Amino acid sequence: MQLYLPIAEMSVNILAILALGAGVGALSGLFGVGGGFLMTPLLMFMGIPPAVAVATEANQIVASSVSGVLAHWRRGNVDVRMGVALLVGGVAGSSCGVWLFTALRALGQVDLLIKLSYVVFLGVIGSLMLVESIRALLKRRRMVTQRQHVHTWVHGLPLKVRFRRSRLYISVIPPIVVGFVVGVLSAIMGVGGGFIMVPAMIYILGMPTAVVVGTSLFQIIFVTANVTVLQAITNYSVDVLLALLLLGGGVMGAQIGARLGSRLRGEQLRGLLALLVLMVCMKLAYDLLAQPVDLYSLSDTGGHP
Amino acid sequence: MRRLLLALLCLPLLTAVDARAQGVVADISESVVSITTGFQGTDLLLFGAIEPETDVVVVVEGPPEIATVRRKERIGGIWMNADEMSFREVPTFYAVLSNRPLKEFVSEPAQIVYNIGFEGVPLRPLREEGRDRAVVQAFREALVRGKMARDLYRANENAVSIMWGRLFRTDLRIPVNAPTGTYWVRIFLFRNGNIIGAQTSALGVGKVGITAAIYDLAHRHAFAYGVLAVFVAVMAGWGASLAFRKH
Repeated sequence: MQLYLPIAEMSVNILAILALGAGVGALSGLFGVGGGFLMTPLLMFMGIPPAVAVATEANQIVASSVSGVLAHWRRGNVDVRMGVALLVGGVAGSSCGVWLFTALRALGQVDLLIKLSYVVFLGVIGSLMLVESIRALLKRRRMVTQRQHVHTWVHGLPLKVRFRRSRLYISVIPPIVVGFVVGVLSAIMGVGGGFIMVPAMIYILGMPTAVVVGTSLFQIIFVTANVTVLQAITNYSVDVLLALLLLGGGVMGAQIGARLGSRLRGEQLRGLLALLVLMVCMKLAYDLLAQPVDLYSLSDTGGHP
Repeated sequence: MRRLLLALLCLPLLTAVDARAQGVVADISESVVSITTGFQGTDLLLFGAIEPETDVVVVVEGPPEIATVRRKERIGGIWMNADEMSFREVPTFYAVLSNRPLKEFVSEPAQIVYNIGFEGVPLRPLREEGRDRAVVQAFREALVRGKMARDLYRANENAVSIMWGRLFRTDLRIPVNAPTGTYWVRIFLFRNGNIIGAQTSALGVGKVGITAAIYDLAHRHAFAYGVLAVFVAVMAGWGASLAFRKH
């Protein structure tokens, strides 16, 4: 069954897109990751123009973050004040990211920017995850004592604010900077950025793990909403139909993933996800390093005279 | 420059043809191609009556655009776009269909004057100054190659079939990625290498229904579209969460 996408201007197989959404959705349900970092490259492999893939995925993440955050909200695991500090940086960062995206698109370098960002981040995260899961498989059941209140350089900065939910009294500067960096990446890569935000919240800001995911999802909603609107205004590259299809698949997939998650062994799965991430990374890296069949390419951004 | 001269030389020929453009009577099976959500490309039938002992060339041109071709180079081990050239008045779509190889009956000047065949399309760079002629040619060839790879440019030298010497028919494939706008369908009739008749018809290719609504909103009211996209996503996410809760 084929569907013509009005913005991507191409015909796609509905079932293939639903399956893609469900597959990535299942991974999200299993691992609690957003899935944008897998979805965007997979869309590009399917032939969706990179600019459309990035902008549309941002739109889809708005939806998946809303449904994700509600569960955390009910359990009181959202630190709104911290979320607002993060999203002040996030909105500024994602606006800069869209501007950079648009400028490089005019220069014909946006595909390179997207792919390079992916190679770097997927490579680093895939390797870390692989090492982590191998280590976990080797030393199962080893208890790690959790340290509370680690004092780092972050605690010496001015403009201190009390974040009650996170039980923190720290400067607002680090959350804003973290939000900014993730915002830039969100705009360029079409991701929520949870995979960077979550470790940064734990290790740099020292937030308790219980509120980390909910707060991250909370601010991702606004940052990806900002990216969606800005991409729509500057690059006209948000395909609502594609986003809805991915979402439909994602909702089904997340249910499957959550159910599977209770039955399967975590470390092995995490190792598999790491391998998947590294495979996508290597495919993208190969495309950049191998000599293309045709050195010339026709730009997809045609203009009318 | 050479093309301009040729065009001037052939001007009397052109007017002469227009004056007696009666050798061919043709029609297209549809005058409008509608791009709906189910669009997967379409085949149009072009048919008509011709004078006996003639050759038929059908040239279909989509609306013009500025097209940019980029050339990759290896920089620091990575293949990245390094050079680019933009061309003006590039037909977004171009098909040339005939009953036998063009070279056998269309002279080079006629190809250029009437824009018949890829050699006849004047793909001129926006800025040519300082560019080597060979470089321009390489980019021009890459442009045609790229368009052909996207199924937007096509040359088929036996696509037109002639029946009983008086009727012709050909299938025109409008691909799924066909740009929207007005397409000009020109039919030329050749006898002994001279044009003895021609006919031009217009073909509209446009998005309709929800496809058109989404596209127009996205381009004309981009901000509203962006906000709407976010709203739809929020509602969908909320709905999904409700569905989750019930189970």
